[in-house]
Amino acid sequence: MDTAGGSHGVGAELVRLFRRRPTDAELDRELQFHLEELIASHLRDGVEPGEARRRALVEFGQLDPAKEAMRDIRWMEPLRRWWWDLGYAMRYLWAAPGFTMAAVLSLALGIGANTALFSILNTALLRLIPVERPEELVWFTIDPADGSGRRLNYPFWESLQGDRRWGPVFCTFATTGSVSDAAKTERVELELVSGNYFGVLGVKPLRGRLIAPDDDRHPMGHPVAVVSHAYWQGQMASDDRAVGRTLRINGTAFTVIGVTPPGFAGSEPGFRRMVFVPMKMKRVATPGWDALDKPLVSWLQIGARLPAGADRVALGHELHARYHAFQRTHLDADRKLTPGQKEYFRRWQLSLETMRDAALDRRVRDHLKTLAWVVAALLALACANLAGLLLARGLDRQREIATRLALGAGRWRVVAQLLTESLLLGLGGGAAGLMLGSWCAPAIARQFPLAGAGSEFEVRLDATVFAFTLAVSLVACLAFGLLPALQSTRLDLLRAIKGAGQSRERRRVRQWLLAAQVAIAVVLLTVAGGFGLRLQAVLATDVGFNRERMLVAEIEPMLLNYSNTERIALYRRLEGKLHEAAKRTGSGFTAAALSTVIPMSHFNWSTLFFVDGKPRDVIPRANQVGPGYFQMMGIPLRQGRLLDERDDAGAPRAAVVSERTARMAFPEGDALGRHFMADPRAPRESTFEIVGIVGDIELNDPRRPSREMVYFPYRQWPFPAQAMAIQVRLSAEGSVGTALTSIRQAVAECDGDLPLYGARTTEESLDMLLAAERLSALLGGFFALAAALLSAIGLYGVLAHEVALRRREFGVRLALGATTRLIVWPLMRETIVFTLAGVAAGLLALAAGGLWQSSVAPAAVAVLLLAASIAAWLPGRRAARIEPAAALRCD
Amino acid sequence: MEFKDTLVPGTLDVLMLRIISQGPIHGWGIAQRLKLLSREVLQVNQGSLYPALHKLEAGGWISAEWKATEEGRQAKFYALTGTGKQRLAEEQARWTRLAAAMEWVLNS
Repeated sequence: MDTAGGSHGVGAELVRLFRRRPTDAELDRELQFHLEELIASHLRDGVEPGEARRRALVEFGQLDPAKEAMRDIRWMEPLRRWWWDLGYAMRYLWAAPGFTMAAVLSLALGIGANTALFSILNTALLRLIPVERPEELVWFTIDPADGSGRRLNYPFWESLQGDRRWGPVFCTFATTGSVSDAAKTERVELELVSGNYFGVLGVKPLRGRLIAPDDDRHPMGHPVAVVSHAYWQGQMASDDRAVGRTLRINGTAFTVIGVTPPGFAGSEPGFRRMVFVPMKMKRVATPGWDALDKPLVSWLQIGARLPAGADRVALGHELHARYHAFQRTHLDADRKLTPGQKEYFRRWQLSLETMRDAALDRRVRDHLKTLAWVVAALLALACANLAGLLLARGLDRQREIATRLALGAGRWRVVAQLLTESLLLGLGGGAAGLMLGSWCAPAIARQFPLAGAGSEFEVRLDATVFAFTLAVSLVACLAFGLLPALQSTRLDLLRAIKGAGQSRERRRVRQWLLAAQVAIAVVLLTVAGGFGLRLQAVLATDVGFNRERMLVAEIEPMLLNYSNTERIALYRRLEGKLHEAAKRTGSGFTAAALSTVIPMSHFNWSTLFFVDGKPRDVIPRANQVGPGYFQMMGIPLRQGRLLDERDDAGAPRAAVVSERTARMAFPEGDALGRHFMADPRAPRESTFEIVGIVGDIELNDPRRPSREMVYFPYRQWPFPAQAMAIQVRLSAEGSVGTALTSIRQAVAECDGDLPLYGARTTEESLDMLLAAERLSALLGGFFALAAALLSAIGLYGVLAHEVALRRREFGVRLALGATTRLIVWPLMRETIVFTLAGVAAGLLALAAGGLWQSSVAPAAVAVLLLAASIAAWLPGRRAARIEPAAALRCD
Repeated sequence: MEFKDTLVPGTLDVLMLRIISQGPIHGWGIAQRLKLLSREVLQVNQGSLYPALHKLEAGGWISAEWKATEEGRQAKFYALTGTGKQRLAEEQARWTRLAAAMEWVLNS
């Protein structure tokens, strides 16, 4: 016995009970089939096609249009009618799987790209940190963002307390520290916060209480910590008695007083802070520097919750005036800064930036904005492509549509029917696009730390993304469905039923669509090519050192409470082991060195530069290095000597400077042999002799011009540094794995408890740094190729369809002696004209949009023309190969 | 011009049921079959054929299904249901009886 779905049996009986009559659409199809069979039978009898159709229509007999109209009135319920259309559309699409697949896939590509990008933007820009009314929150920002960004100083923040103009003002600083629980020691993201931080943000504790103003009164007086929900769940295993437990932060005991609510992980979206401590405990969180009393040391992020209805721009101006009034007294009193450095502080332009705008760097936002245009253009192209497909399909269905119109269906009825099909395609493409986008977006967010190294946005599907995709799908289906629907139903009935083929006008529309696609593809290819070139240029930048095949890993003896002397002894021992391993084949590396600055990271130190007790107009970047550093890095020596084993603790203090530093600090060119002081707090310990001058490098960011550098022997540097980076040059046959094993072994031989972390190649660091550039180049390139492919497919579709339609005509002409060239050339000519028109439009758009790139545009045009030629050549060849006899026999 | 008889009222249903009983068939096929089997004497136009078919379908004597024809085109195929078979048997018997009776009378 069949089941309910079958056409026999009990189930079918039940179905029949509810279905009173076949639908109109079904009836139409059945009658149409009958009509076509009738025509075919006449044709078989040898009647001329035109006559066969005429006779068939006569025999078939027209249904009374009045009767049809009656039926329309009887079934006024538009919903019900639409329901029939829907069923018909489903069966129709089901019956043409190739077409449906092509349409849904190209839409899915367009919609998926939009969904992916939108969900990233949604997480990064629209959805803010989970606090009360996040839209009121602002950062105090310095513009132009010349590296200092949002960095201000603590005394300024203190001076703002009590002034309510900007609403309550809080401050915060993110760093990393070693946090030990009873069992283990880990490196954890810390956030130092002012006492009012949680109150201003409006965060409520999940457990215990959060840091309050009374927890942030006296320097080093409040060893309390709040842990994030993620830390509590992960590291504390959701311990019910977490509150009251002790955590050792950089060796100092802190009492856990509370847990933040789920989702809260600090004030910067994209980053996950785990442990929060009062600002006044800063000396513990950042051993070696405190700066809470320094009005000219810039490190602190200051934020505020603006009063309701406040004018952000005006308040920004007030802030600017207030900051400079505060700073002037300190700048005037300061004797350590040169006039040039003071001028640098005076140039600062302060304003209020909403947290939403601050989530991503302007540069990254610009990349994302461009990408948003790219994906929108890709979708437009997909729509144009689909409209072309539907128009072609409309030609094939001319007889069906003509029959339906002839049987008395109103034009809008048929348009509605056709639009319903588009709607189904649009929703299908939307669903597939949603899947594609929601699958890609988290992967993209993981691969590309858009808010900076170490950041990660957790991209989730939410109602906003869903609504966005739905809206995009609906707009898309209208965009690609309406024109073909109108075109297909506005036809000359008689001609259509006679099979007279397509009208000229309709072919024009398809060709214009084609030209539009080509134009979009030209623009996308050029823009993406520009992204690629820019990335390549950055990657090819000579940074002054060899960054190929370099592996970095970090150790932080501070985690194990090493003293300063113990630390240096450990490094010295480790250096010995590493240098030995470098000489050994099989260790995986050929050179090794220690330094405190990791290449291609945001981490850097600056130092002051005093000569003969007076500051020089230069603030070089400082790096503490061990013997063999320059050789391993491939930094060339220009003058004097490099740092080596003799520059040990107790030996005369020696430093190496870069050419720029030498030139800027000693314009007379007598840098070698001179002395300078790096820190007025410790004048004797920080005075070094310049023993060598080396080539300029840019250690942190290849997009920036190289900065002045000073290299100190870490063994002679009087201040503790937090972490030490082990850097090795991989040997030709050495893999990252073997080198890492060798490094791990060397570290373990020095101290078996010392963890090695942050292992990465310099290429990987660079990839993190260039996240936005890589994202643009990769996605842009992918979308541009997709665009080229789509437009090539569109072109192929137009031509192939044309050839198929005119097969008979070509056959006749070939039989009458036409050469293949005569057949193929006119066919190609129009296509070429419209392709070239598209190319020209694309180039104009590039010029108008300021996107013209002379190094890429010709290549983009060449790629498209090549794709177009291939797409045109295939159907052309088919036309040329038509066998007259075969073509005439079939119809 | 050959002479074509119109159908005797009430006979179309049984004729269609008989044709459908020989295997699933679409409307066009039914019309062709009828023409062929009646040696071109009986013909039905689509105006009567489809309403009759839909009536039979609504009555549950035949069922319909969209399927591809030999040429790969979609058409609505009709097949006999259980009750349809029963009805055909009854009608067949009735019409055979009637036809025989007619012949006896007319040729008496």
